[in-house]
Amino acid sequence: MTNDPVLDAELAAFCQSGVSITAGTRGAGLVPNATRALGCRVSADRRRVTVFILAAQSEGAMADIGANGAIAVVFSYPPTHRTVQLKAGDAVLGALEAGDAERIARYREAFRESLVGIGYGRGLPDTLLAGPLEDCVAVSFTPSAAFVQTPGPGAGKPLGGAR
Amino acid sequence: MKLASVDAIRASLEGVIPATMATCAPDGTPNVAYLSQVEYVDPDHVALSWQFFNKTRENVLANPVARLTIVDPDTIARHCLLLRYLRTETAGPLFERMKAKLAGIASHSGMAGVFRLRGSDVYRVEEILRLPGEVLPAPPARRSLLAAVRACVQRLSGAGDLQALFETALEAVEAEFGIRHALVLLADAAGHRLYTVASRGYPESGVGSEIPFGRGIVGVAARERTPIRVGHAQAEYAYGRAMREAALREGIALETEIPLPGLADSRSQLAVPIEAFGRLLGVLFADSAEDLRFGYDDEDALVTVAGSLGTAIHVLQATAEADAAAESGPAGVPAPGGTPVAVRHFAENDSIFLDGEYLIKGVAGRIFHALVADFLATGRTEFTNRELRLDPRVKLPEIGDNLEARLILLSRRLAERDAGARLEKSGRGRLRLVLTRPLRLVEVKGE
Repeated sequence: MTNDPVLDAELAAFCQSGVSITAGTRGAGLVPNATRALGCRVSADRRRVTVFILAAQSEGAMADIGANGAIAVVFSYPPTHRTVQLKAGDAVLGALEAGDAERIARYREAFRESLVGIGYGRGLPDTLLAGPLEDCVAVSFTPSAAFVQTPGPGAGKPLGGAR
Repeated sequence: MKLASVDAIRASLEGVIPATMATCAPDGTPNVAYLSQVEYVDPDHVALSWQFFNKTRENVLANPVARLTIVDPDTIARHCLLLRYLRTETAGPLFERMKAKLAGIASHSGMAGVFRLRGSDVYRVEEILRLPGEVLPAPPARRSLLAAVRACVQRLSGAGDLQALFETALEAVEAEFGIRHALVLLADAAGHRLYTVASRGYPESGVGSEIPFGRGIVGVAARERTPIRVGHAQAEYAYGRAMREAALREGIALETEIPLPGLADSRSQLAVPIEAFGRLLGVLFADSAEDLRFGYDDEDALVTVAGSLGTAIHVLQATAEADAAAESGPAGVPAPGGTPVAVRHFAENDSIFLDGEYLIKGVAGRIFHALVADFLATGRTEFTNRELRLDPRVKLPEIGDNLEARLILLSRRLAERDAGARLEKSGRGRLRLVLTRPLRLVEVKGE
């Protein structure tokens, strides 16, 4: 096993761009939950990924993360359908850090641009991502694998960098 | 907030905003995927499109619980559904409905040739939760569809004969639903095809044009006896020239002289089977140049109207012949003068040409041939539906065949050709050959 991070620089930039982000979790009976994220932060060494979720919309997912830390996060860029999924077993909940508020604001802009660029009205991105900053929770994890999920026969294959 | 039925959130299943599906592998690893298609099955079931052998599918086969998040395209309200996988269907009405719709979604999202339906995965909906969060105000309703259905059904009940019924049906769907382009096609069950008997909103009437069962949106709706609805322009189900040429290459004999009416820029299409007493009678077809013009509620509305139309067709067909007088009417209308119309009859396929121009073939061609032959032999111009039904020269394909509709088709074609011969109703179950020029019958045998 090498020590290279799962995310290379290009993928880290992709995950932090105007992509649609959804996190999946699971509870005790292997019953899944899902919630939308409002942006992403990748650590300088690209080993730690953090996404932001709204507590009011994430009751099930937060309980699951607290109980077992298993997570799958899918990042998809609507204009090209390029989709990547990260998996980890060590997700934890935390508070926002310095700079996260600006990061979320930048993400909202970028996501809006992605959708408006392909013909959706502003109402869709603005409503999907609406919610008070005080309600935002950080979910941090160390990706153990990344998979291509762009629709097509190649979907589900591990990315080159996946370990 | 918990909801009881998928009915209430069907607008979120039109594929405008992709749904997300969370599943979990038996080892506890979650997975999230975007879905291009979720289909409403009934208040307690939905079906998801299975297109690829992917992690989602592997997971639900091993651990059948899933969490689906769907978004209302107008209000952006989100719902989370807890699903349990039941089975996969790879043929039949549900599969065909999803396959056609997926063709539109694929083409609209630049995925034509990538998206292909392998199966319809049917899930039971065990819980529906409304996610808290901001929503947009709902757009004002266009009108109450239930009120529109009521008005349509009321209009249909006033039609006194089949011709009036077809015209009324197309007028009513325009007036009550704003559907400006529509067709009524009747089934020729023996010939495994449908023929157009009435149309509205197209440059050419297309009356007499044919579609084989199983081809295009109309043909699939007839074969599967289920509504087929597509929300975006796509090539796979286009029922125009390409579909017809493909059918001909495969040796399906088809009306080729009369083009099918259709919008060049059609984006939304809805084909609804017309049924009565367990039999398929035809298809009601609507199209529109707007994307996503027809939703689930429009489909329900047209299915209801088509049900009423089916019953009316059945009843009017039965009464037309019951009421007909047994004896034929008086002959002796003075024969018109002028240059005779050359009525050319090709025995090979019973096609009729008037002065060298195509009129009709098949059953309607045989009917016209019989009428002309009798007129030339005896001067008769009055006929009854009943005698035509029993006439061995007409060779109706089956007892249940709709002779009345064939006569409507023939009279419509004669009126459009305007070559000196017309057919008129002269009473219930009776018709009259009306001539403004003399006729000359030319028999053409073989090739």
